[in-house]
Amino acid sequence: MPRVTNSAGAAVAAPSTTARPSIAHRTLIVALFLVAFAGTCGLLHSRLPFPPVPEVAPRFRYFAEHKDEFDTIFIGSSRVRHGIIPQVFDEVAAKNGVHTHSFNLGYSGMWPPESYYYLRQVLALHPKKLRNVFIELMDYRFGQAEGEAPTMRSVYWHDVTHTGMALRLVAESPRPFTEKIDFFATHAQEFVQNMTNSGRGAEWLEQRYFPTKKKFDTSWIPRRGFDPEPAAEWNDAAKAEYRRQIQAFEEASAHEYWRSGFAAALNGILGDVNQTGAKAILVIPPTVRPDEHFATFPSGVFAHFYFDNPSEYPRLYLPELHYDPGHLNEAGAREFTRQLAEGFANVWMTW
Amino acid sequence: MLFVEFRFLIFFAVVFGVHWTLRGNTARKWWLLLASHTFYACFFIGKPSEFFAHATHGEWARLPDGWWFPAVLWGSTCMDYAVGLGIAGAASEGRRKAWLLVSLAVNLGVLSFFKYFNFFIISAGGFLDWVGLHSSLHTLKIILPYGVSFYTFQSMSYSIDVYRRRLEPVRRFLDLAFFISFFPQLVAGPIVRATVFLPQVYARRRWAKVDVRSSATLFFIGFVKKACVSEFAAPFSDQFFAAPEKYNHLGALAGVLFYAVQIYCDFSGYTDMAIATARLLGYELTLNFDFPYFSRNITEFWRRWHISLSTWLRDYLYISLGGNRGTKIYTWRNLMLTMLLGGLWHGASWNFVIWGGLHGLALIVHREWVRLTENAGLLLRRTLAVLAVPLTFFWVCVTWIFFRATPTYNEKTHALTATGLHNAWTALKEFTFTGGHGRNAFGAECFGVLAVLALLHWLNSQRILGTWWRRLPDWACAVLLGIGVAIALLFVPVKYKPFIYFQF
Repeated sequence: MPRVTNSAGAAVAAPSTTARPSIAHRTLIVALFLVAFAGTCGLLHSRLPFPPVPEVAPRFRYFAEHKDEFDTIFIGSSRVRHGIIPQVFDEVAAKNGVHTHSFNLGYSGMWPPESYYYLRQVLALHPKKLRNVFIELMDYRFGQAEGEAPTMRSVYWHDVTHTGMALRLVAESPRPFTEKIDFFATHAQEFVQNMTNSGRGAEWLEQRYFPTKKKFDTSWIPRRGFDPEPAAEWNDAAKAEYRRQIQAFEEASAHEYWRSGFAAALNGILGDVNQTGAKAILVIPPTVRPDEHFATFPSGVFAHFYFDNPSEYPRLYLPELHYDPGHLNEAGAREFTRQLAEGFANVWMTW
Repeated sequence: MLFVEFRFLIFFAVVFGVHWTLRGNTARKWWLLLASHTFYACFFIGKPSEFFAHATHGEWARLPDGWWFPAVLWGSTCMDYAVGLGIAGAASEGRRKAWLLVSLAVNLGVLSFFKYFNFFIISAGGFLDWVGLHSSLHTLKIILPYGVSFYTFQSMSYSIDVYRRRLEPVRRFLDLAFFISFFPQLVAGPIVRATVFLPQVYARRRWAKVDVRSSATLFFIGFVKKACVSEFAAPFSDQFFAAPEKYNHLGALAGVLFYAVQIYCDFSGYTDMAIATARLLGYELTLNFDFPYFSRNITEFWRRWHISLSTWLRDYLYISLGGNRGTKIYTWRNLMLTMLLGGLWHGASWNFVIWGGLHGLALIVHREWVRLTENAGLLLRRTLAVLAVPLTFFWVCVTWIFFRATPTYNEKTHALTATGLHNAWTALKEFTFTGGHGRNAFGAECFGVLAVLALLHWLNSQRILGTWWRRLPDWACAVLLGIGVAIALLFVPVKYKPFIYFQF
């Protein structure tokens, strides 16, 4: 563009021209903008560390710093976080002849595809001693409250693989069409936000200047990731409701929620675990949700422990051992961990 | 739907594409009217499928709060359309005035009911209790329709301008409805005058006249102001104003300065995006900010801050009250009344009245100061010139302390719990170094951030950045904008606050 000067020879703003730029010129300009934008986003994405997701990141970072100390990890939702006590697991397994040193990486609301993304990040750390990976077997669940704006937590796992997985799981789920559209739009938005690194700097600034606002509970560190639920009093009505839920669950237990996208996602993560030389073990904690009952057993797993049977595991369904119908209290976690460790040791010793 | 949201980008891409694809002016106006109402509906509709299901089944109680907001907007539009035609067809001056009074009464009545009803009830209750009379006044659960303060002022300006014969009344309802509900300025201004906008409505917009580059740049600047700078400043001011007694003087200084940055970047950022959005559709909105923090006196500040409101108040209120045509006291009264009502326009709360009062006082003092120093010596004038900008900015910051201090009310006792005003008083003492014993402070680098922001703002006010930017060839501009947007997004919180002026 020629330099424009006024009568005194000083540079001034170029006068706007009335000549319309050609379509080729406009296309080139738009393309340049997009290339510069995408290139910068890509560069930043590759250089920036694990996103500072509140509460998820501290647990991940703690594990990253101690990754070569543990040979057994548990991945899953709050039912894993509040339900498995690594110290108890190690003690019971040792009594049964298997020596482990385990860590609980469960986190509230961590369902597939997020849990699979999180596990892949853990595997990418290449923990040297990792032998056993317990994965909570769960179906896709939309993790956000309806209409709620995205959060760093809901954004950080939306890479190409896991967004694709989420879209496929939504597409094949038996939800109404309008709900599917909402979910598609939300996942697409979160994918864009993740790829454009939206909020990473803002989060860093907030943690830098307002550390007290982001003060995380670290009581899980000495408990190796386990967070106990408090003991809860159950009144008669709550107990009756719980019994009703158990009954409904048992009646619905013939259902199978096993679809091709779900199987592909699961096989993918099992394959990734096996590739590291570790053993993948599937777990279903005690549940009364019919959509969490899986009657199929995929290949590629070392063992599976499905506790979704109130008749077979009656103690795990006692209200005294529960914080609420979906979560065990600390006594329940002890019992569940014991049964899980015993089962695991049995399989290991007979393998 | 906020301008900084991802979904707005999708929405605008569709609106923009269809708008410029349509050939006829009428078709475009219908399209933009539909788009404006879709934009407005996004604020209250919730899930569209559920909304329409409830609406078609007549389940009004299950509809989300505010489903009736468009009715207020349409009511105001229809009424002013009728008033415009009524004034034009009136046989006598008395009838013309009567039509105008209808418009003023309805528009101000709507505004008063939604904005001030509870305020007056609470204040009256408090007063009666104070004089020892027991009162049993009840407040109503009133939700303020989005943008009501802005669009009622716009539609009133139409009626007044028709009455003053500055404007021909609109013959097609579509034109007026489009003017009042045009989405870039619907929710938080700028308050566009009918005399400015309606001539644009009549003429077909031309794509060739749209300066895409400058519009995109302006939108980007607004985006950075709101999503990055204002959102960054907000936690500092929030923390300070939540407990000002805990901060020392420097902490107070930083807290108040961050609030000044926050409110300016929030509102002017919104305006920049609104103007840019309108420009991309071929329409020009009113300038709303002109680097107000570099004003040399408070009168100039009000020529550069929220220009569309201040000029509205000047033209339709101050001048109607008599302006400066009477005695000195008369002028003072008009100034003070205008600013008090301007303060009250922002919200039904005493802190806004105090804010307006402080500005009114400053305007009066400045007026007299100019008169007294008319014949001052050169040295004094030069000294004053040096101090003018910092002093004006200092006073503006003092007033912001009250603007920020929203009091809370006790509905049982009708009492104003003075937490907000008490905090404002504490903050004022800390900020003006006249009291306070707090110890907290913000890090020294905060002042560095503020200095960088001030420098950027100054460079921009001197048109240095703009001139440099305009000299760049298009390709360099596109590349820099691409890199700039990618970097800006880093600092956009995933979850951000709504614009401050949405609450007004």
